[in-house]
Amino acid sequence: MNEGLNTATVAKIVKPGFDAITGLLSAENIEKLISQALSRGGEFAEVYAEYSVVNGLSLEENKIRQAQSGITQGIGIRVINGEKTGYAYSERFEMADLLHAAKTASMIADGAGRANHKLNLRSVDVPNNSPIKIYPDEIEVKQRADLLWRANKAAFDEDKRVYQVEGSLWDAMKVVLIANSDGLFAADQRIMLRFNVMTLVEDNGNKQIGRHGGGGRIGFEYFDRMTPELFAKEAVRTATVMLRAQEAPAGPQTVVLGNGWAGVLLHESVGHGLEADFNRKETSLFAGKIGQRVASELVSVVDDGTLPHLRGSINIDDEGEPGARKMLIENGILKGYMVDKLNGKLMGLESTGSGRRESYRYFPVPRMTNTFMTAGEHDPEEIMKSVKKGFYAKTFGGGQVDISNGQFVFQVTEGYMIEDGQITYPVKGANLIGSGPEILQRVVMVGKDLEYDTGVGTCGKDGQGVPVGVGMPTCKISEMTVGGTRV
Amino acid sequence: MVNQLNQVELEKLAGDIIEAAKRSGADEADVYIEMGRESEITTRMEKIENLKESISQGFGLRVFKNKKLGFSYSSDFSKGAIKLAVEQAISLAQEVSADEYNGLPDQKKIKKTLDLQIYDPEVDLIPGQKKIDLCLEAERTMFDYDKRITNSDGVGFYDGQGTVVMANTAGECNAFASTFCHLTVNPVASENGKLQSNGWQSTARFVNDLHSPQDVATIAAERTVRMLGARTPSTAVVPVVFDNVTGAALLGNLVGALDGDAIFKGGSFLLNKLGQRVATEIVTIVDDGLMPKGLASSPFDGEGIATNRKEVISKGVLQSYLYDSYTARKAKTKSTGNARREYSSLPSIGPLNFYLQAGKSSFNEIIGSIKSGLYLTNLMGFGANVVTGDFSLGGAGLWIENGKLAYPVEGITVAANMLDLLMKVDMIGSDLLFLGSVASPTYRVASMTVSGA
Repeated sequence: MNEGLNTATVAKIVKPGFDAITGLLSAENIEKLISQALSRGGEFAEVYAEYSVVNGLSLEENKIRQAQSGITQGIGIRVINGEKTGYAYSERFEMADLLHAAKTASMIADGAGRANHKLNLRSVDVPNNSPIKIYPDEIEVKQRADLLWRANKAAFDEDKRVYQVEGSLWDAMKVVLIANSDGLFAADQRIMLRFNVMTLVEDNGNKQIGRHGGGGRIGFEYFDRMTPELFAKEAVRTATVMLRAQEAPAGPQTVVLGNGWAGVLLHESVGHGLEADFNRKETSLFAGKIGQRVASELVSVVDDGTLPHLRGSINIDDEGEPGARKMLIENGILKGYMVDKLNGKLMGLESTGSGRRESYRYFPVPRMTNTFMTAGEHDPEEIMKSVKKGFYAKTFGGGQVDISNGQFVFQVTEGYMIEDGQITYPVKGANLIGSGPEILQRVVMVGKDLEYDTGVGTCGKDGQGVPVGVGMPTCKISEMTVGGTRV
Repeated sequence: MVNQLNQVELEKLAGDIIEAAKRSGADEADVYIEMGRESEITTRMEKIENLKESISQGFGLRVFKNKKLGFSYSSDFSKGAIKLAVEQAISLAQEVSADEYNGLPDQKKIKKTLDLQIYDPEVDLIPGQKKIDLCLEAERTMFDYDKRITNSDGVGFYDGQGTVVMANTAGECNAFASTFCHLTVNPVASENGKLQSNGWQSTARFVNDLHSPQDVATIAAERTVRMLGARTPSTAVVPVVFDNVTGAALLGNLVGALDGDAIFKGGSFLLNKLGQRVATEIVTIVDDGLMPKGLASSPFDGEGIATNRKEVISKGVLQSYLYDSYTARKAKTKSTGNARREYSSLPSIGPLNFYLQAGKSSFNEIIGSIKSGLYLTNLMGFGANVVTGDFSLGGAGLWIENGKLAYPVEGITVAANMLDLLMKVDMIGSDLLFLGSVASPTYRVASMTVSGA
């Protein structure tokens, strides 16, 4: 039954944990746990087991400051009864503790259950959307440190004004096993890599900070393409650009969004509002609007969990359903929601592989994976040239949305003024603010140059953080409020 | 309930881990162990929605060998897991750079008799049904407040209890237990097809200090309904009043800039400002780890150093940065007891109970002083640039006209530089309220740029 994940492919460092989980969660034990979980008549029960190893290394002030490694493990048991969820987890891998967790979760239901829940567990075929060439545990700490030293040197060499450089390298390896009362059995191995560089620059007392990072579901082959030098140079570039920054304008502007990270706008302005839970509860302004126009016809938005190596990509979601490509908005028309099992059942919709959780400490809720706008037909230069006076938002920090009224903000970390189709001078960081549906109606040009972010995004919802990706072509918005200081 | 290890058992475990680290060749080591339980109940549309129970545990081991730092953690307390963690930490420590400032802090004995009133035995005894009833009562109050409250993002009751044990190779072993409970109410209102959501909450160490479900729900309902019909005002430079929520959020921007590590590296807008005026004379900001019943109170910090109370800004003058022992050694100063730690991370510098001291003005005096301005009740987005102090945040609230709250506004941003802002705080309310460990009374900033239509 455990062929869900070929044990030969389990990276060495997570193998002991994987073996411990599969040893404990035999078909017989899963049946016992599911039976206990449904002993008060719940409709659905699930066992989710996870073992995760995280390694980190950091450099600061010309020293490798620290090296670390950690293990977390746990098994969560969920019971669904109508709209209700019961959840409990244990970090001890003992059947007594797990049975207790199952009993706790069962309390959400209040009736008579079946004494023995017979399961016919079948292994789900789990795709491998992001094949790994060099597993993190094949790389010695010295080799990792070399990557940081290279970034450190490149940053200091890049510009004399650099006075501090920090770098960090993280990798995570997680195995999960999921079994439920419908007979689903799935196992998955998940790798995540992350590299960050931060620099401080100073010119005549003017100090600025620049950051750049990237990663994804990829092994150390990542650094063949994305070298530490590249990260260092980009961090220095953004810091030095800001040395010249002037005050940002306050008030409405024509805005050109650079490609890549700008997809955070979609994540905030429409993504969250299309998560099934908010729509079932009718707390989202998109509730009940499928088939209606919610954006300019130039706008098509997709959430795709299957893209290779992106940070938001998944093989299966945290309910065992395969990742999928979902059309959310097609030519401005709202097409569908991102659906997990609970909300799917209640709304009469199929799961779209969107049930995700931060870890065994949480039950899954509908989430995005990689959310992006499909490419349009304009050259990016053409878009820039069409703006007489406006604001160019090149790179971004994070964003936030209120899904009830659609108000969202996103933070521009590198922005410029545009005059007569030309970039003039950089401005200090500012937020852009607007209402999702209004802004999407004002998308007037979409570039050919769809690009994904470099792999740094973490999305927070209900207190849980999950890795996500975003993507965007260069795009022009006829009017949006820029939150600067210059009136 | 599954048995948790008690404090004595955790202290023994800590001792075993420290012994194992010594045997494996650590020059120095400390271990930070956490064990606790949490319970969560949410109701929505006056029915139970979620029940969640959890027990969490873990230890983090920091070792120093030849002045090199290695770190490992695990949520598994088995002998095998401890052995693996010790081996990992020691072997990782071989691979990093030696640093003369590494090492355990110079010890100060913790007063074991200190009672910070952060543990309430009653919290573990609240019957499940009582928690459900509290939630249902809150949701009923919220719906009864106004018929335009038509929907709910849920009401939640959270409570928990935890124990922290810290031991090190210098022979110290200290522990404390704490509890919390938390009630949150999140109404959704609608009018003319437009939705508004908002909320309110109460958090306390002692269950009897939690505000009543009626009080929390009434404020939540009021904050939601009053936003119906919000419009976007024109861009203007006006006085801005921050409330308990937005005031505290903005104050949080100071934390990163006070961080001794950022100061040492020259990456803070508060660099070279010690002893200087950075705010108006009415501004006093306190960091206090010993505040009775404080949500961030603890007898010792993440390195086992006794916490204390200090004014970081006193009558407008910057008095202190925040340090852990490593950064303090580098900066040739003393740790301020501000090392924060979870079992899964190394200590890092952070605030304790961090607040702007209450002033003399009443809420009505503050609002009444403004002819045209903004009362900011919601903030969105991320904090200030720690190097420059510049910030820009999305917001919503109520417009003030002729000394009165006039109409709701949204789709705005407020932007300024933190240093300019602190020099413009000209009225502080008497209504300091701890919604979290960073807290603020209502205060007025004489002028800020508000971007809108």
